[in-house]
Amino acid sequence: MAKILLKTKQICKSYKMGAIKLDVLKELDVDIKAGEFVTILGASGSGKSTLLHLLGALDKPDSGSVSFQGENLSKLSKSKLNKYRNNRIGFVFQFYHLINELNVLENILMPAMAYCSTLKWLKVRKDYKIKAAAIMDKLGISDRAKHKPYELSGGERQRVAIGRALINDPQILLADEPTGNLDWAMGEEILSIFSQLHSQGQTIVMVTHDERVAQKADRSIVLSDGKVISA
Amino acid sequence: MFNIILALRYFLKRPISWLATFAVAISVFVVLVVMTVMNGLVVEYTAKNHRLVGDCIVHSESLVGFPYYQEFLIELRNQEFVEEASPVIKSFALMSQENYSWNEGVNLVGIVPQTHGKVTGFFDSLYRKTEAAQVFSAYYNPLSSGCVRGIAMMNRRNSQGEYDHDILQPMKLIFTCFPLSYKGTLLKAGRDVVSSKSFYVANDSDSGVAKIDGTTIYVSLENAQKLSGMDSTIARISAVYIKFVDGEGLKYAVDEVAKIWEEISNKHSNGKFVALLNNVKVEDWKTYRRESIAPMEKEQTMLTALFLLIGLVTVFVVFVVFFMIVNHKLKDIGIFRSFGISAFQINRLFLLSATIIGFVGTAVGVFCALIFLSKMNALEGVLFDKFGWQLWDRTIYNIGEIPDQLRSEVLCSVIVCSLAASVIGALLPVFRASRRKPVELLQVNE
Repeated sequence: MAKILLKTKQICKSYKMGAIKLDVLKELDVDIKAGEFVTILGASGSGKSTLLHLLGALDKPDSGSVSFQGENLSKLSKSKLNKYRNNRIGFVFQFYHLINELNVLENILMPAMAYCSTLKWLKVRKDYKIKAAAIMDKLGISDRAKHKPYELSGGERQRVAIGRALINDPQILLADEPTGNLDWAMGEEILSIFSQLHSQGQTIVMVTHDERVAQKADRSIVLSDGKVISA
Repeated sequence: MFNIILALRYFLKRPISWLATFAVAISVFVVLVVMTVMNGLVVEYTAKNHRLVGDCIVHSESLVGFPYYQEFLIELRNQEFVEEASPVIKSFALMSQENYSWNEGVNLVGIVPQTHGKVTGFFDSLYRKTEAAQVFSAYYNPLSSGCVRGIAMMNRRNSQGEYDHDILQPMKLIFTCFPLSYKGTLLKAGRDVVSSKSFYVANDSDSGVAKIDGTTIYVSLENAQKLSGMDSTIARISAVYIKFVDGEGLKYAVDEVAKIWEEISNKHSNGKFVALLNNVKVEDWKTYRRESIAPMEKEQTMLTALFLLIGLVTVFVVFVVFFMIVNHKLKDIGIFRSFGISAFQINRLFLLSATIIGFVGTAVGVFCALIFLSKMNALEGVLFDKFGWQLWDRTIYNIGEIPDQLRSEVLCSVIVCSLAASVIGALLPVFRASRRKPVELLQVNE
């Protein structure tokens, strides 16, 4: 039986919209096992992106806990949380979120570079460049290495974002509607990349509102009004 | 490593960064140029005042002067720390010209050229360079008594800052004084109330201190003593100017002179001239000339305060620019946080950007200031030749060339302040942004 990588226990999250308190997640329990491809489904405003942000430690729950391999993320120090974000998980966003001042290769290398001193980077950069080249090759963007994000198509940008998420060999890939900003054909290409990664053992958690996308996953967690209605 | 790459890219790719760089460069340029010119003027003026009186002045505020100066001079000249000491008489006189009806009140100063020239910059100030013994000898009548005029008394400056004058033409001036007894009363009341003497103009003195050059006539100590009555009963003078050997501490040497004077004063404390001795003060040159120097120093202090305001404006400009840069980059900060870059690293990235802006802006400002300062006087010359425009009208202001020597301490302090201003301006917006939740930053403008 596969071990549980991520586990949420009775998590609640609410936002204040002026005087109104909006309960987005209500006592939510979710498990993500190693090697799984899980989609989080739900209508707009159901809390799926909020759940993904909590799993990726981009935000903290109001109550309850999110644990990674049994360790409560809320109790980690800031530096351990940063390390968790850097090398345990990889994020892929709907709007790619690439750095326009950097080219494709530099964007992919950025998470690796961020945790190296100048001296250390000079020692390891060759290895990382080889690794980045392999990732770009796998994603079909090798010929775009020197291009800036604004010179790429939407599909290519999303591939770069996937490459950046993969550079530190994360245990979990968290994707927030990665095909939401792409046309059907491009979306299919990106989904096939995720399927390929999953077949190689990558754990993937993907937020989507598209049932068609969910069909490619092992399992879907369906959210409605901040609660799990099917898992 | 990522900090360096990104900071450089942000600098090169964002026109707003160039705007901040331009603001820093302009501030540095303005501060360096104005500080150089104004500092130069103050330093030059202070040096002129120093050259006027030597290092230390022993003087009496009374018009009747003080006695026993001969033994004081002997004692001073025996001291190792004293290079030279020279007696001076200061009095007032009415100046008139032979065969003319005009007259004018002047400051009559009696000096011994041989020693006065060693203590002060008097020889350098003379229009016609001459031997000490010939200072009061008119070119056209060497055997008669001569005087040296303050150069601004009868001459006008042309637009080049030079005096239009001719001391080779014979000119006879008459000086009339009220000789005073040691008690301060008119010396020969009822008979020869005034004493007059005529002098040929032998030379002009350009000390560079307008108030002195416009009101002072120099004659020999002997003549001044007679005219002012200081030769009667007991020989008296108004002051002793002293120059110390190079490297001697001013305060120490002045204190030593004060002790010597005190000894002489105590020695004669039972004599009938004791009241004259009590009027004597021993002061260093800065204190003695403070009325002249202090307004300039005050101006310099005000100027420094004004430039602090320019520094604050620079900080504000950098602050506004960085506020805009950081606001444009909030999503980037969110992205960095999402892959684990700490708030500290983000602060470092943007502060490095600010440092690059400060460094490049400062370098450009310093470079432009150096070029401008080196060409400033030539530029003013061209502007004057073509348009008749001068920064300081040389017919009014006693300025030769505009000071253009950039002082290293000014340069260093401006560089340090400029770099600090750039970083300080960036601190608040950067710290504010890096402390926001990553999820908030990622949702900006979505």
